[in-house]
Amino acid sequence: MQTNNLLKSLRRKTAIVGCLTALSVAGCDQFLEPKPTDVLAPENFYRSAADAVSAVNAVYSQAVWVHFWIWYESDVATDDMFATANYGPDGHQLASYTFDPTLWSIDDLWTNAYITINKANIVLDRVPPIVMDVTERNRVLGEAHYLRALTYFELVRMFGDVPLMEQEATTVADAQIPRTPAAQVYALIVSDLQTAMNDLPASYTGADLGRATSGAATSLLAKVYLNQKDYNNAAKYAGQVMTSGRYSLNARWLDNFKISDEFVSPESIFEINYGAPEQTPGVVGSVQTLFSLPSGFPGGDAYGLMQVNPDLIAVYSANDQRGNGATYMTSPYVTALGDTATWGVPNGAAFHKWLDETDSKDMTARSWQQMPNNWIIQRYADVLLIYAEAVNAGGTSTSGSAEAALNQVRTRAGIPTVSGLGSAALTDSIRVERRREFAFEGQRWFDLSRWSLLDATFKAKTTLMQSLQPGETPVHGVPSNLFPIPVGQINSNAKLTQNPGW
Amino acid sequence: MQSASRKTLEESLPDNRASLAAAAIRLVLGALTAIMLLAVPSVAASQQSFVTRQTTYVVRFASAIDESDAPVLLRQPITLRLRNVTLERALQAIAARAGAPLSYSRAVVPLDRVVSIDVRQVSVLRAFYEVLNSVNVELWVSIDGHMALVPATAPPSEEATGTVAGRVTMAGSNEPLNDATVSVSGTRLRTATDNDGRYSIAGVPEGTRTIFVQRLGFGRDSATVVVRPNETVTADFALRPVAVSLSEVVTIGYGTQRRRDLTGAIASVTSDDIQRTPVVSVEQALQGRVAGVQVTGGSGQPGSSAAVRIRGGNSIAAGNDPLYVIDGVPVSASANNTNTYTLETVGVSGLNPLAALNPSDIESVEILKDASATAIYGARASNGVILITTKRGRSGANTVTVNAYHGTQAVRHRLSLLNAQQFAAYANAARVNGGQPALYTPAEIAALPNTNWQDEIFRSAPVTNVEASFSGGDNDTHYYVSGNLLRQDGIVLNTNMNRGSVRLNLDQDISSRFRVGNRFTLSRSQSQLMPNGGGGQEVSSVLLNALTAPPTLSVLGSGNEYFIGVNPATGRIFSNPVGAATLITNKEQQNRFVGNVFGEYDLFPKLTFRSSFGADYLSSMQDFYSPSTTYPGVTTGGSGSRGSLAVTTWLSENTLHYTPGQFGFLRAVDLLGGITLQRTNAANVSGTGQNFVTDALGQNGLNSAGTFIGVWTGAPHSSLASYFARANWNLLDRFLFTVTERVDGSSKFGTGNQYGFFPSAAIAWRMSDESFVRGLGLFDDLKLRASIGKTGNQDIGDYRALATLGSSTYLFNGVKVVGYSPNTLANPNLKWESTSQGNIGLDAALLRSRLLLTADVYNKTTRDLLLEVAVPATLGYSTQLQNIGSVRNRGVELSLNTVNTTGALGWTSGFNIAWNRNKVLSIGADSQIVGPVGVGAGAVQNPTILKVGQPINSFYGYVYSGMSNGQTTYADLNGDGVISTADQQIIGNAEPTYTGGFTNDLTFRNFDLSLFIQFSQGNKIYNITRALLTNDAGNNNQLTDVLPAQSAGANGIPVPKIGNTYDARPSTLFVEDGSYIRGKSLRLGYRLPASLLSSSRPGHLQNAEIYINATNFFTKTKYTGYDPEVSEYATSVLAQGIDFGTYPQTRQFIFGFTTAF
Repeated sequence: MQTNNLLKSLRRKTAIVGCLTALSVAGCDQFLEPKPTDVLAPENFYRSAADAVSAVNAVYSQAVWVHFWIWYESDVATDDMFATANYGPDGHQLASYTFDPTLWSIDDLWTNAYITINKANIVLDRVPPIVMDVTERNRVLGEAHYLRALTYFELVRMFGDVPLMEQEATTVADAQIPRTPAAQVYALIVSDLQTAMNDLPASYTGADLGRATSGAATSLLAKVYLNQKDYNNAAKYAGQVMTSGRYSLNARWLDNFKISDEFVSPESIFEINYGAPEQTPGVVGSVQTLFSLPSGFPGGDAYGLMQVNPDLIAVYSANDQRGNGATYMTSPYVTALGDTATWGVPNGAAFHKWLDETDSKDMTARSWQQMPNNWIIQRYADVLLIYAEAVNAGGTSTSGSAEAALNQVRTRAGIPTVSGLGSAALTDSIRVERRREFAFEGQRWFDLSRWSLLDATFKAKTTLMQSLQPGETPVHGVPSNLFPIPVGQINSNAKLTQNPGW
Repeated sequence: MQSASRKTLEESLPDNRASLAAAAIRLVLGALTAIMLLAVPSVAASQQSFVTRQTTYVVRFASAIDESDAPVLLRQPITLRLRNVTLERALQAIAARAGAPLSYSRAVVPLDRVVSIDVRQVSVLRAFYEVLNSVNVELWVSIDGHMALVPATAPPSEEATGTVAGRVTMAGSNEPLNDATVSVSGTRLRTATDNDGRYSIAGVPEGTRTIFVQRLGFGRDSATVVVRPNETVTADFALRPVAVSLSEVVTIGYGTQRRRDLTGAIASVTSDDIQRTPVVSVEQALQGRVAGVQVTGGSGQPGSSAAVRIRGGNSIAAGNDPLYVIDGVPVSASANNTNTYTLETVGVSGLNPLAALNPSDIESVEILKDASATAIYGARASNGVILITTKRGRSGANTVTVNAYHGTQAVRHRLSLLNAQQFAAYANAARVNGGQPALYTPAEIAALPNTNWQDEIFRSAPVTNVEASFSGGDNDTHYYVSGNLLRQDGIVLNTNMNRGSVRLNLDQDISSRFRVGNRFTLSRSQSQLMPNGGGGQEVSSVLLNALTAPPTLSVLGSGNEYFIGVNPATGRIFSNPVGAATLITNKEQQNRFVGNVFGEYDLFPKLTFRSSFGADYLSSMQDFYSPSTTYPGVTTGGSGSRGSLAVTTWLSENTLHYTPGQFGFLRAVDLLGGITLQRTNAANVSGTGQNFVTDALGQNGLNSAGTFIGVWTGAPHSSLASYFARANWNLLDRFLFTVTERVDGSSKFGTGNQYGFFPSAAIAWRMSDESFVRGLGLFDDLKLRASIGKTGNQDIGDYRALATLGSSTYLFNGVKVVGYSPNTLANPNLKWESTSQGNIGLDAALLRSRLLLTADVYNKTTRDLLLEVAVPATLGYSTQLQNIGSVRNRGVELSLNTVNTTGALGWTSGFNIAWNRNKVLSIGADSQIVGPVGVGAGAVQNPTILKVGQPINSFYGYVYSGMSNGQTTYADLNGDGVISTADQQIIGNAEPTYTGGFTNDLTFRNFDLSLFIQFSQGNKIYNITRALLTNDAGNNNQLTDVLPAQSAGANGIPVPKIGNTYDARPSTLFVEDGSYIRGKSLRLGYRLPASLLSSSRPGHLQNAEIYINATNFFTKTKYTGYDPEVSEYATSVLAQGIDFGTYPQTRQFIFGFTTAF
C-alpha cells in the first residue's frame, strides 16, 4: 500500500525526476555510437583519384616489409654464407638448415606477403568504381596487379601451394581456406602480369619514378615462366625486354648498388625503395648493409653476422670486377675514405655488396633501420640470364643466342666470353654466372630450387661447414625444395597442411 | 547532535548484549537447539525490558525541525487526517502510528486545545510538529523508543557558560587513561586527559551538550550532559578497547554503510593510516596495508606509477589497474592514456595520474574486492574498485592544520662494478681471446682515470612537503579548504617532481530537504624524468649507461665539457650518463582538475534524489630536448620534441535512494537506483625536430629546427551509459542481503554488444546475533558473508571494434608519399571481458572486541578476455582483437587487528597476509605465446611468455647447465642433441606466493611509535640488468662477478672465456628470488603535552606533534640488484618483475611536524 502511494506521488513529481526518464534507450544508443574524428574508416575513403593513388602507395609501403628480411630465406639459407658467432639462433638455424616451422622470419614473410596481397586486392576491388582519369586508374590497377603478382611469386616459390586470396578479406572466415594448387597461383600471377604489362606505362618521370613499369611486369613474367619451365614464353618475354631498348647494363657493376643511381641507372628494372628516416621522416630504412658488414667496420653499426663461404669466393676469378672488394672483402680492407678496417668477426671474408662507398650515410652513419640501400627485385642482367637460361633449355630465341646474352654479363664483369659450349656446359656456365652476379641479392635459394639442386648443395655445405665451424650440425636437408608453412598459420587455420618433410 | 545520539545508541549495545547473553544462556540451558533458536521470531521484541532509560534525542518545536537528525522512530512515514480534535487525541494518534509510547503531562501540554491535521506520507516528527508547533515543549526520545513531552528549556544565552569535567578510565579495570581526547559537540573546545585520566573544560555554553572522548585502540564514547551557567557538570567515561569499530561508516559505491552491515569484502585505509607514513601518492599508502592488494612500486622515480593488483591480474590485454573513484568521479589511472609518447621513458610512461592527489586530503580509501562490493561499478570493476573520499568540514569546529616535513632519500646500495684497472684487463682479455690486439698497453692502464659512474649519477636527494588546511562550518555549511606544495628530488641526478594542489570541498544545506555541495581539486605537477630509452630518440637509459660506461673514461673532457668523444671500447660516441642526465630535458607538466557538484533533494523523508555532475580534466605537456652537447643530440645537431594532451571526462549521475527502514517484515531496507552518462574526449598533438640552430631555446625552438621530423595528432573519444540498482535488506535481524545490478553501455564495443549486464548477490549472517553464538560468550561480533557476481572490463583503446585505415609512407624518387589502407579488421562481435567471482568471508570480533579477524576466500574467473588473437595472416591482418581465453585467480586473505595493551603503554597491531594463485586457462587456439610484449633489449633477453596453465608474468627461457670452453651451455631438454627454441621452458614467474604487512602502533605518554613491515615471498625477478652486466664481450663495464677470482663464488658466472661469453638468450642465469621483507616505515612522534596547549581558547594551538620517519629502513632479500621492489614495466600487464636499468627505490628519512589550531 505504501508502495502504491509512493508510485502515485512519484508520478506527480515527474518534473523533478524528469531527467531520469528523459534518457531513453534510443537516446543512449546514439550517445554510444563511436564516431571517430581522427581516424579514417573505409566507408569514407576510396572516393577520389588521390584516394586511389594513396591506396596503391600503401601496397608499396607494405611490400617494403615483405622484402625487409627476405634475405634470411633467399640468401642466409644458401651455400653463399655461414652465420657467425654474433648471429642469433635464427641465423644459425637458417644457415645450417636446422630451423623448424616455428622460425619467426618465415612467419614474418608469410604475414607481410598476405597483408600486401590484401592491400592490393583492396585497390583492385575498390578503385574501379572511382570516377577518375581512365589512364591513371589503369595505372593504379596495373601497379596493384604487378605487386600482387610479385608477392604471390615470392610465396609460391617458397611454400608451393598457398591459399589464394583474390578479393579483399573482411571477416576471419574469409581466410579459413585450404592451400590452392601452385598451378592456380601461377595462373593468377601470369594474368596479373599480363594486365600490368598492358596497363602500366613504360617509364615515369619526376615524383613517380620508382613505380612499377610495363618493363618490370614483362621482366617478371619472363622469370615466372622460367620458373614454370615454360621456356618459350620465358624467352619470348625476356626477349621483349631486351629488344625494347629501354634497358642496358651499367658499365660498372658496382653502380647497381649506388644509392644515388637508384631507379635512374639503365640496368634498374624494379626495386623496393628504402630511405633514411632521419632525412625523410616516416619512411623505412633497410638493414642488410649493417647485418652483413664485419664487426667493427668503421662508420657506424656493423653487426658481423655473415661470413662469405670460401666456396663462393672460389667462383670469382682475379679480374672479375664482382669479386674481392665488390661482392666480398677480406680483412684488412681499405675503404674509399682511406680507413683500414680489420675484423675478427667473421673469421674470414665478409660481404661488401650492400655497402655504397660513395654514400655518406653508408660510410659514416650506419644505424638500425636507417639505411637507404634499396632491395633490388630485378635488374637487366637478370633478364639477360633468364633469356640465356630459357633459350639454352629449348626456348625459341627471339633476341639472339643464349651465349650472346650470357656474354653481355660476362663482358661487363671483365671476364672472358664463352663460345661453342654444349648445352650442358652452357647450363653450368649460366648457373655459375647467376651465382657470381647475384650473390646476396635474393636469387640464390630460388635458383637452386628451380634447378632442383637445393638438397645436394646443402649436403655439400654441411660437409664444408663441419670442417670450418665444428658444432654446427645440420639435421635435415631441404625437403621438397620448399620452406615449411609457419606453424602459427597452421594453428590459426586448420585447413592449412604442412609441406612434406617438415 | 545527530551523531551524538547515534553513538550513544550503539555504545549502549554491549550492555544489551551482555544481558541478552545471559538470556541466551538460559535458553540454551533450556535445551533448545540452535535450529529452534533460529525459529524464535524475534529476540529483539523482548529487549525493552532489559534496557535502562536514556534520552538520546531532543527536539524543540520552537524552531524549524531537522528530520535528517531524527531517530528512525520519528522518521517513519504516516498519513493522518484529523479535523477539530483535541491535542491529546492527535498526540495519541501520532504515537500509535509511531508505535511508541508517549508520556506527557497536562501541566506541560495544553491537551484540550483543538487542532486539525491533514498530512500524507510525512514523518512522525513532522506530524508532531504540525500539532505542537506553537507549544513551548520539547520531545525527548529515549534509546528504547519512549517519547516524552517536557517543558522547553530556555534558549542558551551567549554569555552563560559552565564547566564539564570528569575522568576517563578503562572499562572493567578502572585504570585511568591519559591523553584521551575530550571534545564538546558544536564547539571547538577540546582537551586531553591527564595521567590520572582527568579532564576539565571550562567555558562550555549552557544547554544540552554531547561530550565525545576518543583514544587510540579504544572505542569512541560520548555522553549527553546539561550544562548550566557557572556550574560544573561531571561526565565520566569508561572506554572499551576495540580493534575496529563496527559502527564505523564505510563508503560503498553510491552510498555508505556501517561496517557491521556490510555483506561484501571491503577494506578501509583511513587518514590516520595514511598519515602514519608520509607518501607522495595514494597507492603507496595501500602497500602492505590491505590483504589482497599488491602494490609494486616499480621504480623510485618521483611521480612514477605503481602497479596495483587487487586479487591478482585478471586481464591480458585490457588492463589490470583497479578503477579509482575520487569522490564519485572515476579517474583514469592508466598512464598510457596520458602519454603523448614524447618522453624518453620506458615503463614509467610519464607522470602517474594519481600523483595529482594530495594524500593528506584523503579521509578514507575503501578497497572493494568481491563482486558484491564492486558490481555497482559494473563494466569497469573487474580489477576491483578503489574509492577515495576526501575530507569535509565538520560543524562548529573551525580548525586550521599546518603540516610540514623535510627529509632526504638515498639509494639502498650500489652494485659492485669493475674499476678502471679491472675493466682494462677485462677489455684486453676479450680482444686477445677474439684474435685482436689488446685495447690498452700497460703504460696506458697505469695512467687511466678511474670514474665511479654510479657515484656520479646518484645523489642524496631532499624531499619537502608543506600543507595547510582550513575546515569547519556551522549547522548549514561545511567547508574544507587545503593547499599543498611538494618538492621531491630523485636520487638520480636532475630528476624531480614538484606538485602544488588546492582543494575546496563545500557542503551546504539549503533547507532541511535540500543539500548541495562540491568537491574540487586542482593540481599542477611537474617532473623531470630520467631519460630511459625507448621512443624515437635512441636515448638509452641514463642508469644503464652509468652501469655500462667504462670506468676508464672521465666525466669531463679537456674543455670542462661533458665528455662525448669516442669511447675506445666501442669505437662510437660515448653516451655520457652524467651529461645526458644533466643536459637532456625530459619533463612533463600536468594540470589536473577533478571534481563534482551535487545536489540532494528529499522528495519524501525517506526518498532522496541526488544529481551530480563531475569532471576530470587533464592537460599535460611533455617536453624532450637533447642538446648538441650530449648524445644523442650530438649526432643530430640537437633533437627536440613537444607533446601536448588534453583529456576531458565528464560524468552525469542521477540516483534515487529510498530508505524506508522497515518495509513489511523486512528491516533496514535500503534501495538505490541510478543512471549515469560519461564521456571522454581527448586531443593530442606532438611534434619532433632536429638540427637546431641553437640549443639555447631547447624544445621551444621547434619551429626553427633544421629538420622537421613530423607531427602526430589524435582525438579519440569514448562514452559510457549505465543504469544501476541496489537493494539492501535485513531479515530477522540476522540475515543481511544485498543485490546489485548494473547495465553498462560502451562505445568501445560492436553494435549489439555495447550493453553488458553485471549482477551480484550477497548474503551475510550476523551469527553473533544468534543466541547460540552469543551463548558461547566468545564473540562480540561474528558475521559470515557470501557473495557471487559478475563484473566487466573495457579498458581497451577506442574504436577497436571498427575497421580503420592507417597511414604509411613510401619514397618515389626521393619524394615521400602517403598510403592509406585498412590496418585493423573490424570485429562487430567485440564485447566485454567478464569476471565471475565468488567470495566467502568471515568477520569476527573476540575478546571484548580487542581482536578482530577478517578472512576471505575467493575464486574468480575472467572470460571473454580481450586479446589480440593471431588470425590467419592470409586475411591480410595478423591479429584481431577478440574475446577469447580465460584467466583464473583464487586466493585466501587474512587480516587481524588486535589491541595488545591498553595501559600506560598503548599497543595495537594489524597483520595481513594474502595468497593468490593466478593461472591462464586458455588463450584461444595457441597454448602459449612467447614474447607477448617487447621488453628488454629488443629481441634479446625477452623472457616473457603467456602460457596456458601458468600464471601471467611467467618467465621463459633456457636452463643454464654450466660452462664449456668458456661458453655458457644450456640443458638439451628434448634430448635432440641441439639447443633450439624447443629447449626452453618456464623458468619462474613474478607472482608472489604470498604478500602482506604487519603494523604496530604504540603510544606511551606523549610518544607515538608506528612500525610497518611489509613482505613479499616467492616472486621471481628477471634481472636483465645483470645479464647486460655479465655477458658483454669487452666493450661495456661489468659486475665484478665476471672476474675469474670471483667466479668460484655462488654469485659469479663460472669462469668465462672473456670476450667469447656473449650469449643473449634468456635463461635461468638471470632469474633471481625476489622475495623480501622490509621495514617499510618507522615513525616516532612526540605530541606536545596538553598542559602546554591552550586548547580551550579559540585560535590557540590545539594539537602539535613532531615526528621522524624512516622509509625502507631495512630490507632483507637475496636479490642482487638495487632493490627487490622493482618492475621496469610497472604499467604493463604481462611483464612484471623485470629489472632493466630500473630507477631504484629509495631509503628515506624525514623530519616533520603537524599542528592544529
